[in-house]
Amino acid sequence: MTLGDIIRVEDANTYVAKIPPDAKKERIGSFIKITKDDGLIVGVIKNITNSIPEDLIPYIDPELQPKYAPFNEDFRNSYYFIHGLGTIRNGIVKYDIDSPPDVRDNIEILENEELKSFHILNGKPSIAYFHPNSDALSQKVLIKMIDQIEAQCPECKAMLALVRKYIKRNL
Amino acid sequence: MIGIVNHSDEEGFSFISGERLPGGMFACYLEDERKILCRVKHGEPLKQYPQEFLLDMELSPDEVSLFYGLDPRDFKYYSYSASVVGYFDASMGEFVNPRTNPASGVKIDRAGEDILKDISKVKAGESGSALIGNVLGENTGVVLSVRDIVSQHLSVIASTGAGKSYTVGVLVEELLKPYNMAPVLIFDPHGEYSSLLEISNAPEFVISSYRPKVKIVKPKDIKIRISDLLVSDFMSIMDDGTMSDKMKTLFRSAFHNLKNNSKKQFTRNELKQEIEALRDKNNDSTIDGINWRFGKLYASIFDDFQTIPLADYFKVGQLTIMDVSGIDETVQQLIASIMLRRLFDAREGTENNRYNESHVDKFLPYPVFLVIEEAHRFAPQSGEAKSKSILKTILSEGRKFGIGVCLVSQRPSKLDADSLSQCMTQITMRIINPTDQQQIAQSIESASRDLISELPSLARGQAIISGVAINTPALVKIRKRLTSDTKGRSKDAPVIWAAERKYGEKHRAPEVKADKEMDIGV
Repeated sequence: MTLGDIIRVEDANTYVAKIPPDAKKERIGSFIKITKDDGLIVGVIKNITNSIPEDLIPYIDPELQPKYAPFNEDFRNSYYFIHGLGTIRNGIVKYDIDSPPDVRDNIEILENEELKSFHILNGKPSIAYFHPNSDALSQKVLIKMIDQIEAQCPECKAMLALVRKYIKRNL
Repeated sequence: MIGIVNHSDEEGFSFISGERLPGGMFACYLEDERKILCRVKHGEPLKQYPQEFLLDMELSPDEVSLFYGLDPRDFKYYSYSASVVGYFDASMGEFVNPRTNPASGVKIDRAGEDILKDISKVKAGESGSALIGNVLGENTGVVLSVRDIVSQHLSVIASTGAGKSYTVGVLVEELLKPYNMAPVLIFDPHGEYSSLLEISNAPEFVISSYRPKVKIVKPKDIKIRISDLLVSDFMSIMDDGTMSDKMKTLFRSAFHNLKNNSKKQFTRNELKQEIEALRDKNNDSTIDGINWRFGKLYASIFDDFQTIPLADYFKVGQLTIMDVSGIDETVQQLIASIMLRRLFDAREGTENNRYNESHVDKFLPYPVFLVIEEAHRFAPQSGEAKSKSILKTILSEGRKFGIGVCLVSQRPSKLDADSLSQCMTQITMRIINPTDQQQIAQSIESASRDLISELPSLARGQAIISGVAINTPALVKIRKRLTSDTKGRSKDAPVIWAAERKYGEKHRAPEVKADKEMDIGV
């Protein structure tokens, strides 16, 4: 299921995707994928923002604009801020993105099997992208990611418990 | 290469290394094509594992770190503080501090044999050398200068069981080797040095022209000559706290009357006659009181004629062990005091040409070396000991007259601080008591204070050697003794109990059991 499409690529790891007006919104911290010809770019929803399209604001009575504009959800536009984590190409997982997605690329929810595959590096369970990305992601996002990984990779439960404690104390 | 210099300041410098290096270890770096010796002081991990990664005993922190994206190798680097010792200046015969620290990025190497050999002032096996052990963790021998030990004294300080008697044994072995042939006397309050008797027959000590002699003087053979005692010695023997001032005054008069009659040597009866000569109708009971207390001087250790035969005890190439075990501590102090007084007089008189070969037992024409075990008994920090004054005199003036002293103690804080500070070479082994550590820190040279923190962690047979007999303080593994070391060892009580039980079962009559038929139930 398409969650939206990318409308801006800021750098190799930071993208903005526009959510269709009626689409069900995913939660912050959910793993997503961007399918490319040679594989997948895996990322996480870092944040969501809702905004009022500026082109509709002029139709509101100027005196009422300050009152209604911030709460006018009927005309809202919503965006996902995506943080790229790595790639799966030909079954090979890399926690590095050397080729960012293109504008108009679709973002989709990462399937459970794909999530599981993404967390096997060189034959061993791994969340090694956590450390290099820990500054860019909030504690809330990281904890949510751990919850999802734990659900799909129960064998990592003990290690994830320690990482969760570490993140709660330090980040 | 073991590391690279990180930074330096007035305290020294620090370097990063991927190796675990013990505190006190020697390292070196190159400067102006000269090897500069330095000493590792303290090390700590450069980076620590997140503490949460250490909470699950089933998981290794490396495994969790790798899982999280941390490189486990990053936790295997250490930052070490170090201090510069210097380069060895052969013309000066000592290490010269370049007064600069190495720059950041300079490579640090292990100190090799080529520079470690310069820690010793003399070469092993040459005249005046005492190979005491190896630099800890290295194969380089540490050789003390016997000349400096004898002229400026030595202390061996260690907790019980740390190997101090063993170390003294090694030192004495070296002194008795053919390249030293020293006259050595051990004042042995525990009778634990008798195994050194083996020295006289061990092949390592014997050459065609020399065989060391070992003389063990048993307590029953030790005699104190009455005329060697000072009036204060008499008082300390006779007075159990009940001697009145009148008694003391009368006794002093009798003693001085005898001495003033040019009686350099006198017997107990002569002294007693002198006491009796003071009797009159006013002091009858006082004289009786003195006479009653004088009876203590008829103990077997006191003699009218026999004394400590100095010339017999101090012979070149001879070890004399004065076994004073089982003798009351105050009498031990008295024996030490008289022996030291006579020794000092003999050496001083011989050096100043007052004595010559015609003065039997007073002419001692060579330096001697004296080991005093349990030195805190003979020169206590607080309290009095008969031997304290003369021991302090010898320690401060003995250098001029060639009396070398080795003070051995397990309680440096109870040992007179002045006496300890006169020992210019120190062999310090494991010390746990903080007060004792503090005392040691005050009495040793500043360069080795860095090593004081190592004291509690030293293993048995490991020592910090510092002072004038060595070019720079070093952590040393004391070498293996050539003679056996059975007396000084701790007893293995369970083994002894088991052996005793086994012996009892085999040799003793079986236990008589109650005859049930005869048991009338009383």
